[in-house]
Amino acid sequence: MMAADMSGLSYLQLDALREIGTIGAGHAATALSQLLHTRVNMLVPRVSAVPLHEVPYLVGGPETPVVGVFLKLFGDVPGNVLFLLPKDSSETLVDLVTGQPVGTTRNIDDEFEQSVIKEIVNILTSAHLNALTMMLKLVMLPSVPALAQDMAGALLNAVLAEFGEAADCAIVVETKFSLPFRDIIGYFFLIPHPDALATMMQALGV
Amino acid sequence: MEPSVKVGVGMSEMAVLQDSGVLCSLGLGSCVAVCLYDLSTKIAGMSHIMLPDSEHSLDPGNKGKFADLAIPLLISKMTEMGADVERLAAIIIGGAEMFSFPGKTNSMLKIGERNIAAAKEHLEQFKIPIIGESIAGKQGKSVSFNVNTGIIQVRTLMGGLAEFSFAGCCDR
Repeated sequence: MMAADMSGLSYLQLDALREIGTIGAGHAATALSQLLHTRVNMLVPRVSAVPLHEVPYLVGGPETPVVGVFLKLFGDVPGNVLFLLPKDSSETLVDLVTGQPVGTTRNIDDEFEQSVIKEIVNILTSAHLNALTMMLKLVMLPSVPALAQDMAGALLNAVLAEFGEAADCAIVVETKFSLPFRDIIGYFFLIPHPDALATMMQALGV
Repeated sequence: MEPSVKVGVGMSEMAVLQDSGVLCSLGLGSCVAVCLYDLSTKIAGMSHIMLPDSEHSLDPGNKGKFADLAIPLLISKMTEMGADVERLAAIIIGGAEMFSFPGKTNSMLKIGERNIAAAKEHLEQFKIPIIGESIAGKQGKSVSFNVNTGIIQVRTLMGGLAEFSFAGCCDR
């Protein structure tokens, strides 16, 4: 009851968001799988209305070292996308994409590694948004990606602050990817603007 | 005496302690932690502010989110416990810009800067001096505030960054 009350969304609506998230994440997982030539497992997305101060705990706490890629969404459904990778996952991902033995990349400090990560997130986000666009018949355009690496809480601050003006909790669509025998976890946060939520619900008819 | 109580102050939260314990805000990005201390009563307050002002908010339900509402509220909570606003001093931490988009700046990405400016403005209204700051930049920070000693430690992912003390600088 709590979650539904706090966000003002019904269970049906939260369920619809979960469905959207699943389809979007499914497309993103397919893209990642083709990119890496390996099977990619995707957990059924968790969709929840999370009080702002609790969001950092979804990724292991506010001080967890992560690499984050941030994209703004324009069009019919304005919002933010934040893709968070734990630091070691991001390094493994760079190795896999560039065909190096896993363990070669030790940091994401150079422009090359950063650009690899940004590109992957771009592909994942586009795959995700494409699925939503087709299903909802709504235009969703991502900005260029911005990358930062720091504490998870610090990166989430900036992304959540914008919508903090309108709401005390964020609707978070959280998807976890994992690869067999490789420890890669990615958290995909789709944070629609509170106004955009209504648009999405209307398009879904719930 | 109780063993040291550790109180986490998350985004948009605030807390006040007296005599002992530790107040901490972890993973500050664009947010600003405003730390207030009354040395003679050892009353300490911390507010984890997300946004500069509540003016455009549809529902300013949670006052802790906004600098313009959080700072007066924190001060009143502290004075209720016996702190004197005349004796309060402040240390502020945070307000970084975590993400930068190439070639453009927009107001949303200046949120750290705006939070710092708002925190300073509202502290000034109460004539509370800022005796230390670790602000702006591009790094996330964590703060811990020892209520008994009045010492504040700031660290980043790279390790310790700065240490401030309220002791000896509150003779007003």
